[in-house]
Amino acid sequence: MRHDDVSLDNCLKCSDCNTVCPMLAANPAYPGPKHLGPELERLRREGLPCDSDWLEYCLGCHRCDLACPNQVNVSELIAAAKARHSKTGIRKFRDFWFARPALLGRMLSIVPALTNVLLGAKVARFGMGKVMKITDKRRFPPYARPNLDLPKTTGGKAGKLVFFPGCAIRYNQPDLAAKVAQVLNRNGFDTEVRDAGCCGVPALANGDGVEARQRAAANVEELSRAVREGARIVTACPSCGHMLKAGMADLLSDDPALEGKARDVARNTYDLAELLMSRSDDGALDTAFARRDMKLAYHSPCHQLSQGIGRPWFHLLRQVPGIAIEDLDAGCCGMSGTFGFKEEKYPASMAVGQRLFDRVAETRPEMVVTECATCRMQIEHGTGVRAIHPVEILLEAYGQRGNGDRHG
Amino acid sequence: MESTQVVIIGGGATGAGILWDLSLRGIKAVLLEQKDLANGATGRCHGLLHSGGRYVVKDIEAARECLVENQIIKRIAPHCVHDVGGIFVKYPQDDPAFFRQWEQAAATVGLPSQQLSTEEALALEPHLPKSILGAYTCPDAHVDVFQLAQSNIESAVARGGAVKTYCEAAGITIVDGRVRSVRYRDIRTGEEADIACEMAINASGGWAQSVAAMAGVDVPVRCDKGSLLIFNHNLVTRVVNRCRKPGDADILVPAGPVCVLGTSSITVPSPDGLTALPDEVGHLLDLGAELIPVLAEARILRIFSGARPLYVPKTAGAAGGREISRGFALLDHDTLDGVRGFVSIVGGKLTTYRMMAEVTANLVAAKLGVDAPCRTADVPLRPLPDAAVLERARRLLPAQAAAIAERRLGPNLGHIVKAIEARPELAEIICECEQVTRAELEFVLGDDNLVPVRALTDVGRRTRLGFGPCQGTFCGYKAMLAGYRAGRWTSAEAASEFERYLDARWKGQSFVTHGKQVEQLYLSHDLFGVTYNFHDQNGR
Amino acid sequence: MDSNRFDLIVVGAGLSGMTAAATGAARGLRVAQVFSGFGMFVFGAGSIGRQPLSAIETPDLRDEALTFFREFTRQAGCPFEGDIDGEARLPTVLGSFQSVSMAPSYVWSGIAGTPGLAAVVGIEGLSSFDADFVAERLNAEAGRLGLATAYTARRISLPHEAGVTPGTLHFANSFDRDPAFRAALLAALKPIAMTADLIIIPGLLGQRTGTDEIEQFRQELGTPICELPTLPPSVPGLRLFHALERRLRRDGVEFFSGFPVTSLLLADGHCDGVEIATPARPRRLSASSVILASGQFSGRLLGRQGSGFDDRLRPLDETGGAIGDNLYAAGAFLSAPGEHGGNQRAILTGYRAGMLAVGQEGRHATR
Repeated sequence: MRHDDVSLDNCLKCSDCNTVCPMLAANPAYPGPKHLGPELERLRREGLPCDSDWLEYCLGCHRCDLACPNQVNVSELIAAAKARHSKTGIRKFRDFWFARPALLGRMLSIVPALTNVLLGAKVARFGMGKVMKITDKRRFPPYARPNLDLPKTTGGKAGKLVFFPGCAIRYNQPDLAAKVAQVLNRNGFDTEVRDAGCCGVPALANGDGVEARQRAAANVEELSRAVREGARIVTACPSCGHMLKAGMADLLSDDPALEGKARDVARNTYDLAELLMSRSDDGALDTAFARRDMKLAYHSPCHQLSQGIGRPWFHLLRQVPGIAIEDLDAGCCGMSGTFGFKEEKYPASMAVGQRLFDRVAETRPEMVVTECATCRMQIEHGTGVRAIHPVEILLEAYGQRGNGDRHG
Repeated sequence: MESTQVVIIGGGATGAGILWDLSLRGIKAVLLEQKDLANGATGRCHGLLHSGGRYVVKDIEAARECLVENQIIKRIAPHCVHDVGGIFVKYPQDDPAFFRQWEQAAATVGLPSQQLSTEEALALEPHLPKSILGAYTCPDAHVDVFQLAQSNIESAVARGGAVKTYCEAAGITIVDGRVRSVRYRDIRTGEEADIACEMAINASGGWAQSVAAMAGVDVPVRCDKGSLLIFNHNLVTRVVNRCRKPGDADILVPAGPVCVLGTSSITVPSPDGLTALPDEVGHLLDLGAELIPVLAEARILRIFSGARPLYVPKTAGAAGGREISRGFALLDHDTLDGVRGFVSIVGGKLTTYRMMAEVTANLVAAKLGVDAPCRTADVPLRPLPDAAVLERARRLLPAQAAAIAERRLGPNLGHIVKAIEARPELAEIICECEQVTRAELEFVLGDDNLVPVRALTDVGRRTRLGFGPCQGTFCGYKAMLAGYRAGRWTSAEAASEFERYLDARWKGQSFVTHGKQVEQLYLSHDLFGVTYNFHDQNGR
Repeated sequence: MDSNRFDLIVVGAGLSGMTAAATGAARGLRVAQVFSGFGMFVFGAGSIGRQPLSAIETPDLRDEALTFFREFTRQAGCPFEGDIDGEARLPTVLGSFQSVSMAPSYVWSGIAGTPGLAAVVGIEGLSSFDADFVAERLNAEAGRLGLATAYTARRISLPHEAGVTPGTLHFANSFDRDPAFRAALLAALKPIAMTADLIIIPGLLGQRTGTDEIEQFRQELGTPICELPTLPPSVPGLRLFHALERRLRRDGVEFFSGFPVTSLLLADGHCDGVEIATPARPRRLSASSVILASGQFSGRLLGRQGSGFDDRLRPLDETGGAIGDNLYAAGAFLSAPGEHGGNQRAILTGYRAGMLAVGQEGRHATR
């Protein structure tokens, strides 16, 4: 039986998924994962016309999947339905671009200075927000020249890594790539950057199944070559990591050869902190940390939770002397990549994030650390507290600074 | 004493069809049903509207009848029919000579059919095994048996027919060799009464022998039990038949959101208290997996058994009985047994129910001296809802709920739409698996419904409530509360209705011995048995 | 510290698994709890009914385990009231009475029998709860059982989004997130509180709200309030789950939620740990002891329903030997197929399995 058939049959309607859905908690009108997933899927299979408006409100956080006692991949059933449902008008045009951050990034980073002036101003000023149905409440992230040249290292004892940067690092925060490489290098890894563009999560989130599949196919070819050459893949973006590990093989299930390669890539893909944690487990982590007296709050991004690797950053940062870190454990931030930028979805996005914002306010940290770029955007937007990638803290604890400073 | 012209005993498709046919001819009739409509063989079959393909080789007459009726039912009851089409699949393990015979016989009967290559068949039905040798198409369809029976009754009631559910025939009074009245017992209240009549029709299927005995005549009927498995979701989009001599578990019917595999065939002494045997499940599954391999892993929701009532005349000549075809028989007990005003209609199959009703009503009309032709092949059973009502429904309900309500409710959709417009909270979906709204639930429980609900278990037959994966665990409770709210039951009655309801739902699942439905059943037992201190009658 | 190495792995997070993890954590073990979903918490409220002791349970074990459990739940902010030797009757949404010995305070407050008037409060639009039905049935049942409590039905309106049919989960989410909702609920209940001795509502006072806040709500109301577990999801049960989980996290228990255990790492009569189905690569967690507390169907991990258990709660193989010398069972798995496990057994066996993992047998050794 196909994976999604089994998944559909496994639902016992216990509603565990509904109790953890962040969208349902914040927006009572949202029908919830049980209904949009397995319940409607039976009727969609029957060929009935089914309500599709709410599908776009699924944040793709996978919390329903994790709560299910019967291994129903609730959010996959929703994502597949979303990909089959077609959009019209300007939202179709907008979501075309939102589905393709790499294409957008390539264009916008040709002359980053000009782009940033234009985007840095409130989007609405050009009427773009109104026309494109993009909220004028947010600022776009700054774009940078996608310069990911890493200092060449060889002879690392821990092995060879290919760093899959993802669009947020490549186009918005390229300095993070060097920081990741430096931290890895201190721990015995040689790192080079390789990808074939966007991982496909934004395409899937925007209901563009064809584009998502194309992204997966391109990356699988590129990354499986690296795996054959004996490298492991490392990501610092949880959404890319989730896609490489758990998404690509399913997207490519129509092509057994590609699917096989996707599984090879998945088996060899690691989250940055997962890799560092395994060094720590072996007693091989470089722990020559300088004291950093600071109070941090850690937020687990949804796509990090869904990888099943625990909370490695939380444990790693606790090893740095002087750091007091609290796990916010307050659910999804509500940003969900491009979701929070959409004019019609902005209120829902902020309502979902409220629980997290409240927790940050209660905790009063100097900074929030979280590995997901759009979670950071949302936390800064919702709380005014600075949010950074945890690798920056680790690098500073090593007494080093990145090659480039943080933009914006 | 209540009086009428004709009393019909049996509320299956045939009895319901007779009531409708007589009502159209202006003949007054009352139908007695011992439980709820379609409780016997009608409600316990595949729901396959045969194209005749199954019978072309073996019984060309039956095939012809099926083909004619298939087209008529699609025309008069479009709201009951899912015109999904069907295929006869050529499996490599089956006799190739039969494939050729089938092709020739289909052509002889005039069955519209096309030959499909292996690739074409697999493209239509990806779950077929790759080893198949091809397939033939045919105009099979799925028919919602509960809606079919109910539509006949509703249409008849609108024209003066009457129906009494949960009223079993208790006796037939014969004076001077002539039927004078029929006595019935309301099994929910225990009350008994007589209906004076000129004629009584025995359309009680598997119970025909015991009903006939009330008139002192013998109608030999053999009950052949067929068990079927219901799977949680559609694995095929059209009816899949195995192209071979008809046998066990060789038909899979997509029936709304579920699909139904069957059947087995075991002779049983009585149509009452049918249960599937554990062996039957394994037997059906083994054969089903030859048909569609993934059935071996698919989730079974429940198992049910029905009894085909087969007419077995003692001698070939059937004592002068007018044998219409090998499919069914109309027995005039006046000429056969000297009992005037009593006829039995036995045998047959769901697809030909209308034809059976027609020949019965023809005989009855002739005996009553009524000169009115049969019109059931032309008059639509229930008009479809009009476009304006549909448009309003689509505004009020989610797309899937509107689509289902359109199909399931026909002209009654107007009641639902009006109710929701007046009280928007009635748009609430009570049974989420089958998209039953509170408005629909209140309608079937209310007085506007021409076929009233008496037991909570009836609600499912009217609406499909509780027919999905949870098997009523969650929606059955809400339906019980709705019945209490509507004044249908007192709180004490509602509570015992719910107990009986859960028992019935649990029974059908208890034969599922593996997979997710076992856990679903445990969940239901734990929830109601432990958390709510509810004890089922089986003492679990 | 090895992030995949533990002293104790508990599979399952029902009452037995939670109790087992708490027992280990209280004695300094590094515990991993591996589970999916909320088990029976989503169907009930965690109430404990009296059960006869089975062959593997002793009166001493019962006293010790329940004393520990009371302390655990008190620290979690979800104190249990009642007494295991007592028997009280709690109303249900079916309008029947459930026989209970101990229950979380916000449920226990509903025990029947004291003379007085209990108002069963229905909520406009909440179709899964009918106050008239419940009150009528409870009155009939109370009369039959000779209980002095009288029940009356009342109805209130609560704010909820237009066009949405609210469920108890919606109200619970509002209770968790929105102070204005709490105020509206309080205002709606106040007039009823003036005339009734007890208020009975469908469970909806938040799934993450702490008991302290509920206690505060109750103080402001001025009348005892009891929540009934509803059709799933049952909010009082979920609240108990989240409270216990928060407590265990504070005690250092690591939770692995959502990744099913695919196999037990058994070798030479010893269980080295479990393998869980995480994306891309299965993850192996190792431990000195493993407790199987994942419900009636736990036997699947052993490839069968098991051949019984020894007096140290260890599942046995066909030859009658322990499958793993450090592999223990707790909760419903120990019950015969078709027999309901029961919460008392869950707690007793969860505690005992936890103690066995700690390496302490104590007074509660089997009789």
